[in-house]
Amino acid sequence: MSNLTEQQKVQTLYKIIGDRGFYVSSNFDVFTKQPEEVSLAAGAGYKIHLAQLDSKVYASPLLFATLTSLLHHGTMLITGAPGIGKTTGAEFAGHFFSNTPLDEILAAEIQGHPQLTEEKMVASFDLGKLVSSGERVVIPNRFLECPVKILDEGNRTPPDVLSIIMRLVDTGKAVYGGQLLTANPGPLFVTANYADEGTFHFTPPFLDRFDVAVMVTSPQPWDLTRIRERGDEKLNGNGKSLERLLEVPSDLKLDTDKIRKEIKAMNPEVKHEVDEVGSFADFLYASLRYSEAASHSLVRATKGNAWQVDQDNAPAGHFTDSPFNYTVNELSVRTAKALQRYARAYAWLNGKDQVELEDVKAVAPYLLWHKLQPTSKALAENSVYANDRIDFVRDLIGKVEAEHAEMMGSEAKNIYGAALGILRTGKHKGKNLDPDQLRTVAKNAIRKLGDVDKPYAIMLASHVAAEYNSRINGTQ
Amino acid sequence: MTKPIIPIDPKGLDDVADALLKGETIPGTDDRKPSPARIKNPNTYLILPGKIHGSYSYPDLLVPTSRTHLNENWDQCFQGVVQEGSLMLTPRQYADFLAYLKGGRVYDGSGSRVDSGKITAILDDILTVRSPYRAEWLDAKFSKGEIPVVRETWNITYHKIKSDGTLEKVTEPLQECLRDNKLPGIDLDYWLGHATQQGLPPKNNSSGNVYYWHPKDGAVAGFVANSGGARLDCDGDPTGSDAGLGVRAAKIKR
Repeated sequence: MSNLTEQQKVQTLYKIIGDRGFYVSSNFDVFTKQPEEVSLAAGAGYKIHLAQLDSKVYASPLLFATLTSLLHHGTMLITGAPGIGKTTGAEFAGHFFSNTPLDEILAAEIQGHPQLTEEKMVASFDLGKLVSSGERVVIPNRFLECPVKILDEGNRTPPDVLSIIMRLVDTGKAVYGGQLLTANPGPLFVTANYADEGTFHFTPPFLDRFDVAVMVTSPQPWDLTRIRERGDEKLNGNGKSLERLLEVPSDLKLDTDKIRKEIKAMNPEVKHEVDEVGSFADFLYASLRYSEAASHSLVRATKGNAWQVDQDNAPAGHFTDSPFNYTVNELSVRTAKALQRYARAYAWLNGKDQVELEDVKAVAPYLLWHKLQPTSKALAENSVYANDRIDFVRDLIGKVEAEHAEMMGSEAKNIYGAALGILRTGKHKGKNLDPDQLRTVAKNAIRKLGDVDKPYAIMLASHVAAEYNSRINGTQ
Repeated sequence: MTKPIIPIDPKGLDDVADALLKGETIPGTDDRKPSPARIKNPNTYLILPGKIHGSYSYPDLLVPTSRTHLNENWDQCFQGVVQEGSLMLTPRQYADFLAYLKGGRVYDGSGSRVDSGKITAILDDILTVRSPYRAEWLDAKFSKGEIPVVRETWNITYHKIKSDGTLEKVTEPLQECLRDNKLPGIDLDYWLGHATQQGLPPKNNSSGNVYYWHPKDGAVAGFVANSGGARLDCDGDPTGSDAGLGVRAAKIKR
């Protein structure tokens, strides 16, 4: 019986994957604490990050493969140049963190190509029964049944074929022959090379179904030695040495149910009914949602409704420097939910008692970069954002954070708080207010918030109005 | 009942709640300052808040308190302001600018409230009927439509500000507006309150003492004041120039 906590076991397995040469990368890009930046190349703009003494560092591909493997149904897109370990990393993370033998993962793995069929991806009919008795018995295929699902080189599959597994990626469910099939819980990894002549574009709705995405970077030269030391299967075959390396020490077997319960229990601190993590995540969602081009009605003024004139080809609006100007599209509800899920898992992995704002900020770039399309304004400010979307999202979050800080220090917050407090209870200083007084409060609050020339004030005023209108609904 | 979207300590909010209930000014909110602009000499600019007029909109602008590029014709003026990264105000922006000045709550580029004396002086410079001649070009050229189908069509050419801050030349049909000279004149406040999306006086603009020359083919827009009167001139000769005629080289507020 192991004395290690589940979190310690995961950290140990994480180290083992690197030590045994399965995923070697010192391209550290996730830091649990803001690292120190040291300039180099004579101040040419390059900076090296040095971790704080009491922090942890991770390479995002393995970190997110780990977190994805621990969740009930995590989905991860792994992009990068060919031959740098995209698929291998997913296979080994799946093996070590999902209690699934590597052979089983490899047998269930699907290779993307233009002729991929539903039968290969999801299920097929039992041909024997179909021929002998005409009975249509659906047999789920190995891909669906394996806890670790890998679709390798997914973008070599045309979008119409991929749409078949859209629901599978999203919910872990698939339909074949009119029968709803539920995949075994576990991670789903899709790898994709950068575009070449044999690839297709993933559609935005398909991309949105991936909780997280990473850009795998080729190993640093000093990491190649450790990769070579693992052995050369093409020279020697897999043999016993690989079997030994793949062994998971008995005291490190994971209890995934327990882990998921522990992650679920990573509740954030709640202040005045609101958790700061959820509040910031929602503010981020709201900050990117607004679109002046979509509609004069605030109910429809969202990027999702800017379907003819989008953020990129709209004339300049009233708010030119607000964060919403930097993305063509908005975030989906599933992204808002994934943010909290991954932030909790990340906080858990780092041994915290509760998820904090820093955890959301650490994971957010990897949960958003593949979904958010930068506007020409963003690219004009920094053309590198066209390639490095992770940096784009990181900088964008910085802008959102600045607006959030401004809102939290503003009088608008107090107007909103006072109005909402009255409208929710119908009382002021313990006394019931009559309908006219409630209307006066709502109206004055909206007017006062209207004087604040910021998108966040529009959001707060809209909430005051919604609360008042809901109240009217409830009293009729 | 929904939860607040941000954590708010209810303590200390009674005063704010009282003010909301009574419709009073909320303590500390009577003079909210806009953020300062990132520009040299910010106090020589006024922050014109961005506006949306139907399908036309523009962001917050910094409008200089005085005219520059004096003694240049329309094209020279336009090229000059564009080369320095500025823009010429369109009639729509100019109408909003005048309304903003007349509203009295004006902030300079540093985010400070501009005192009423300074606002009065700027308005006096623009509007008062007196010598010397003061005038400024506006970003609008008028032209007759090329193919009269049923009736004569007219176009206006001006520049829209794109989301990346660059200018886009736009030629579009002239919206229904006042198509007669009014000598004098139109009511200034009615024009400012009811200007078309393109900034011109509406067809039914009430009478007043501001002269108005309606759009003519090949003409440009400008606003003029001298001892003979103040006028919105949409019949301006683009080749003209004068020591008192210039432009407000505005900038996008950043």
